Amino acid sequence: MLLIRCPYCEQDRAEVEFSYAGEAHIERPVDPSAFSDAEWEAFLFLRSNPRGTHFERWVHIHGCARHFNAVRDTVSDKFLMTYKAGKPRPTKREIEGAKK
Amino acid sequence: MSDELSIIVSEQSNPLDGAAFAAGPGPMLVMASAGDCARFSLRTAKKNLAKATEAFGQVIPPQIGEMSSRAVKTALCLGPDEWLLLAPESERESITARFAKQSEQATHSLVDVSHRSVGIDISGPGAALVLNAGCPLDLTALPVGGCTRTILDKAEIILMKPGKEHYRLEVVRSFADFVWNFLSSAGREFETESG
Ligand SMILES: [Zn+2]
Repeated sequence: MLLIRCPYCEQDRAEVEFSYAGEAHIERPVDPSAFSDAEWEAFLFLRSNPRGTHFERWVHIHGCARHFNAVRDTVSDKFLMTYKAGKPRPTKREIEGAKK
Repeated sequence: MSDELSIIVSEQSNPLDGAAFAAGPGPMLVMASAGDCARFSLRTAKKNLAKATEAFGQVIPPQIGEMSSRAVKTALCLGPDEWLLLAPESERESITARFAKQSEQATHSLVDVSHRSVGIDISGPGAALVLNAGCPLDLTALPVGGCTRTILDKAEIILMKPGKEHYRLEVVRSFADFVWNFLSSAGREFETESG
């Protein structure tokens, strides 16, 4: 059973209580009408899809019902760390530190 | 035609009304449908909790997973700004009125969800084992007086632990039969072991 740490509940909880919610830190444009078609396409559809460290949103839907962010390694499927929504993207150093 | 507002009061019908189940020697497991009660979903900021406590007439705890229960009223903290309040049906209107009065000083949303879910009481030395047939939580790590929203097989539940071998769960009405049958089938394991 894969356990995910919810930063609001401050507990490791079973994956079945969570839902995936796409890539994290994608900023909604303040003025979408000023966007070109290409920019709008990029905002809606283009994602980084990296091999390795990925920043993504999760929601503890069958728990506290809160959205939060996670850093997951897409190769090993290991969660490196999780943090509250609204917090900035953690640095390499913070991710390394969280692994220990 | 009258311009008066008509208020429709619906009767609460409980699909598990009066249901009871026991299994195993001892018995290992006792399950009973919990009586009807008033239920409220409260959303507010933590700084308003003192005011909300006044309106509810019972302490509303600030930390996720905490439950405060005294006599007939229970308050559960489910999320960073979400609480479930349980009270006798007779107090439904007085609680709503007291919260309404303070809406200007303490912004909140209080929704009457009395008919949304039904309660099941589960007790006995086999209670945790039966719940774990479908719930992934480590129930030994859930303290007495704790609560959480979680999942039981495919149904979302709110689980409370009022005593060491006593659990109470809340499940949405439409899943009530499913959850009852799931738990009682798991409980039948105790019958085969005793034979
Ligand atoms: Zn949570």
